[in-house]
Amino acid sequence: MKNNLPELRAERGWTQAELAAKLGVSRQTVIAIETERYDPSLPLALAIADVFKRPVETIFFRDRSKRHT
Amino acid sequence: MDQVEFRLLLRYWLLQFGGWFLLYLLAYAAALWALVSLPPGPLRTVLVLSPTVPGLAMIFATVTAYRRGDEFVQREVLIAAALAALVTAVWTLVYAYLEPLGFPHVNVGFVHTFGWPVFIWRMVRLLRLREK
Repeated sequence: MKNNLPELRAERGWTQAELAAKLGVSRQTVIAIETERYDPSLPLALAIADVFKRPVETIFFRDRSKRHT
Repeated sequence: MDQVEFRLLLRYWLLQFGGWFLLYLLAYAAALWALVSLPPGPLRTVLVLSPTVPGLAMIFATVTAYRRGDEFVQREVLIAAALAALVTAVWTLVYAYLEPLGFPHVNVGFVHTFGWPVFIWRMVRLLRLREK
């Protein structure tokens, strides 16, 4: 799953550590999501949407190059 | 979770786990020596059983770190444990075929010394995770 978390975070001038603190997760988790090594759970994705005050589908996108059954 | 707290937790886990792992290796060496050199008796029994104490402490430290981690950290701990188990299983299978070829018969705890470093490597990788 793709996301525009780095851009949204940069717009607000937040560091990864600051975003992690707002979400109540580790910085490792934020790095893993931003680098698309890890897809967050639905509750965490919704928490991210809340923090950025945007609908979740404007932050996370389906990767069309990958097949999901 | 506070960042500083999490990094300290993971570093503390690595120090704790690393310390117990060294103790495990020492206890394992002592257990092998006791098996070969000592006559049956209470001292021999204690030495042979001694690797179980650091072994259980390593597992306890890991379970504690797992329970305090967030969802990504928990997933990484599970992957590390699965990889360590895989290495242990493969090494067990390989050694089962090496023994008939003349390799010495060793205690089953021997294979653990190959699985745990894999687990430590994955956890250090998690601690050192940086942005690409």
